Amino acid sequence: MAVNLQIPEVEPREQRLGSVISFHGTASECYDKCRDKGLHMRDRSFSQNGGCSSSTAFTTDCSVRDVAVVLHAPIGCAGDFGVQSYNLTLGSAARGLPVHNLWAICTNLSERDTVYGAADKLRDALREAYTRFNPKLIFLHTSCVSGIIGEDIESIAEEVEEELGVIIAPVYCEGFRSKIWSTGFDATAHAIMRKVAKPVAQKSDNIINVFNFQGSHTFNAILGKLGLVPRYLFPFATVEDLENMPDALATTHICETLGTYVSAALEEEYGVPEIKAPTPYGLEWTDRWLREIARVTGREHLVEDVIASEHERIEPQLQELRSFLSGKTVYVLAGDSYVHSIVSCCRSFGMKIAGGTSYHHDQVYDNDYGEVNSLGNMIHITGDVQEYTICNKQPYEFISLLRDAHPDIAILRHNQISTVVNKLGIPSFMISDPNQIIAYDGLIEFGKRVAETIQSGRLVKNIARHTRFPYTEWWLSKNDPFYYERGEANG
Amino acid sequence: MDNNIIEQPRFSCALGAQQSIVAIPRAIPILHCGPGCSQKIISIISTNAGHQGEGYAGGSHIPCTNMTESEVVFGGEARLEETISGALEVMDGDLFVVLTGCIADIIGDDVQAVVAGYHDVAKPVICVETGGFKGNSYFGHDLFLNGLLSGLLKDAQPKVRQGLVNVFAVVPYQNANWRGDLAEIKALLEGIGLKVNILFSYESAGLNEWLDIPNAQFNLLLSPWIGLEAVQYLEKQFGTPYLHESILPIGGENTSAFLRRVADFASLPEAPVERLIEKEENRFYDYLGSAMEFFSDMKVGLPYELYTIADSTYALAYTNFMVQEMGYVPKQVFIVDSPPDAQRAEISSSFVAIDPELQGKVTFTTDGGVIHQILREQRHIPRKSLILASQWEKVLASELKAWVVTVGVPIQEQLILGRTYLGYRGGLRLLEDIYSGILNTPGFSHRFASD
Repeated sequence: MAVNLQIPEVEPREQRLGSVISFHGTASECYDKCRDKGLHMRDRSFSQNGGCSSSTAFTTDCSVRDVAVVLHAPIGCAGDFGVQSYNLTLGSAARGLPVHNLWAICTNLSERDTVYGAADKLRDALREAYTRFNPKLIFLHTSCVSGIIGEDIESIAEEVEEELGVIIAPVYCEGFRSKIWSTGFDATAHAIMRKVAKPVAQKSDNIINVFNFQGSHTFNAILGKLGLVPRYLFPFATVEDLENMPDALATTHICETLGTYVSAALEEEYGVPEIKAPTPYGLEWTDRWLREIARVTGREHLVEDVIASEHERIEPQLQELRSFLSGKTVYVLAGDSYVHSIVSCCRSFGMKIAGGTSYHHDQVYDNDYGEVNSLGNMIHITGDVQEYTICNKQPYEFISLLRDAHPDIAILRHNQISTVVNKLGIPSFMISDPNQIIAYDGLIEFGKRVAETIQSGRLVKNIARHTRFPYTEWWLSKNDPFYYERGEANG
Repeated sequence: MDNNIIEQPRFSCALGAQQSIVAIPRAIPILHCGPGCSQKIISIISTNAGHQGEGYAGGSHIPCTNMTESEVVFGGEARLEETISGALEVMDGDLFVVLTGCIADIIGDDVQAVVAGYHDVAKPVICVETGGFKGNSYFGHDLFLNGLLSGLLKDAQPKVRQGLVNVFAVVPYQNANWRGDLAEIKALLEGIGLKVNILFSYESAGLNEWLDIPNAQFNLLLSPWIGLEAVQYLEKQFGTPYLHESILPIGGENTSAFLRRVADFASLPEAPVERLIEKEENRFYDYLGSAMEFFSDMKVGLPYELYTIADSTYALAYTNFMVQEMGYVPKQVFIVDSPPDAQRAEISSSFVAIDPELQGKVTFTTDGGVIHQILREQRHIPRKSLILASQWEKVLASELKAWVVTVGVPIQEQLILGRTYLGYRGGLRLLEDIYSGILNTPGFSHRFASD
């Protein structure tokens, strides 16, 4: 599938990847239908709020070091500035970096601006960002309003870029453009590939690009065993890191949903190979991931010893955790691929999958390598999942799925979903840092967190006894979670 | 509304009124907006406001049309209609309020016409147009108040009950202490013998309280400007008089004076009011008196100059208490909620009435970059300044060697449940938080002014 860096705006996932937001059946049925993009985008006639590309784009680029973000939007769209600044200051302190507030400005579009346009205000905001923060790079984020009123972002960015002498990279992340909020990850990646990454004279002999969120540096140890050095992207990377991405030996990531667009772009434009293996979650997946990295980087002579010694090293703790976790039931909710990664971890402990819900599903990836298909990897390496749904959050749908599944624990990635799950009396492990649970040590960490969540589950049982959900008796007793899905069923 | 660019936002947009709906027991918001608006609002004025949680029908439960390309191109009225119909079937509530976001307002969906189609359903369905570009979340709350009152009560016939008061006060969620604050206000007013429609929070009876609004003896407005149009509307519509108190009561003498003014306005018998005041005031000063040992022992390390960065309502309340009661010297006030131009002169005068030192030192700005620039230029700050502010000022305060206590959004490093800084007890709690915060700041010493 071609990545086109000539156009300013990346195509939304529903068009590029045939992404969908509804399905119910088994995971293998889903996989089979996707082989010929057989699933259809079906919305619901009744929906609850989801998320948008603006947030996902912002979360991937706002904490790049020495960058400023100018958000051309009404002030509500800057609702994540505070949370991201909090993350930035904590993350900077943890990394020994200078601690400062988020460098971001919102143009605070008003009613008048929607009528007359706000090009001058945007120019001023870009200049102010330059004066206030002295950034090495400015990301210019669009919004629904800037998109609908037809602001000429490209021209303004080029003009002010020339005036200030600093790169201004437009990130087209209008919320209304896509039903798939992960499109925002691609928007940031597209902007960086288009405006920041540069051809390099010389390839590195040890650097691996690792696409992640603001995660901890857990790749150092495992890649270090092969004499490799991770370059964490994009959060907390330097602008030089972004420029130099093309010099890496290979690209890997913590999640296909996050990392496959940029991986494909790097491979296609600069010949940086994408690691064609599952992500390093769970025993078998990690083995395969390491072997593939070793193969691509010419370290095959090292890898089998590393794998054997790592297995041996974690074996006692793995067995201890298995004796507690084996047979425990788990329900997994996360953004597409991450469901599959969590399932892989759970199955390394012999846990039983009561069900899985992905918030969307990409039927194909930009580089559609079978080895990178996380759904396929889950099914073929760890086994099928019988109760598998695709649903863009929608608590009114998934609470009945969870109630029926009645798992010992739910594992997920989104805080408000965790709240809903807890109120059902189901303990939840919300993975706030996916890097914490990668590879062999990460698997043990995962097992400990799952065990402690189950062991300390009394609070949620108490809360469940005192919770009234905002749903009618009619709905709660209907037992048809997909009642409002329109058109021909997926699955 | 201010039309400037904003660094370090301290509020959401007009659609932030979704949180005001969530704050009414068993009220259900229905959003006609883009797919991410609701979460962005929750980010700043719920999570980032002391981790307040989803409430009954908030968070990911909020119904939404999640407008995307096809609604932008073809209009979103049909989408809104099916969403309202679905919400009425699925969501268990007493009151349904449709709010619009930027997309709906720009493309010009006739939402009032769609909502009018539900006039005969068993539960009230009200619509308020709150496109985010219209203003901030304070303004949005005001829009919502006006819209809900006129939509819900337009045909009401008042049957006035003496001693019943409606309270229009703080903005739910946006003001992180709102739950505790409303509980305290209600308790104080009940303490002097009033019956209270508090309207928002767990202390409210929900829709029935709102329907009871026309029957009140009077309305109590506790903000310099938020709710002003609402009480004026109620005066015009039902003849209900209102008492406008711009400064929320904190501490001993302030709270007592407040209660006396309310009692006087409501013509309550004097004796029970004075009995309550005497008891509460004595207790307040017993506690405060017990802190004199602390103030005296620790004096060298403690601040005495005050900078306040907050919305007009709380900036007035905190400054008033810290200056009048605690003897701080006020240096500068930054008002961050963008009050209407018509109210600004009066707000400034209220500060000058607290202390003439504040003449010319009240700045209205929503841009944190401007605030920080001004603070950096102050020569008074090191060692002896207390900044009542937000998370945005934490790094700055440590650079400037000032003490900072976060009282306004964003506040992520605190879990706020029933906390209040209002009234007699709230005043004590504010002092506990300020001085515990200072004592726990690395570098504090009572032997020398930290340097």
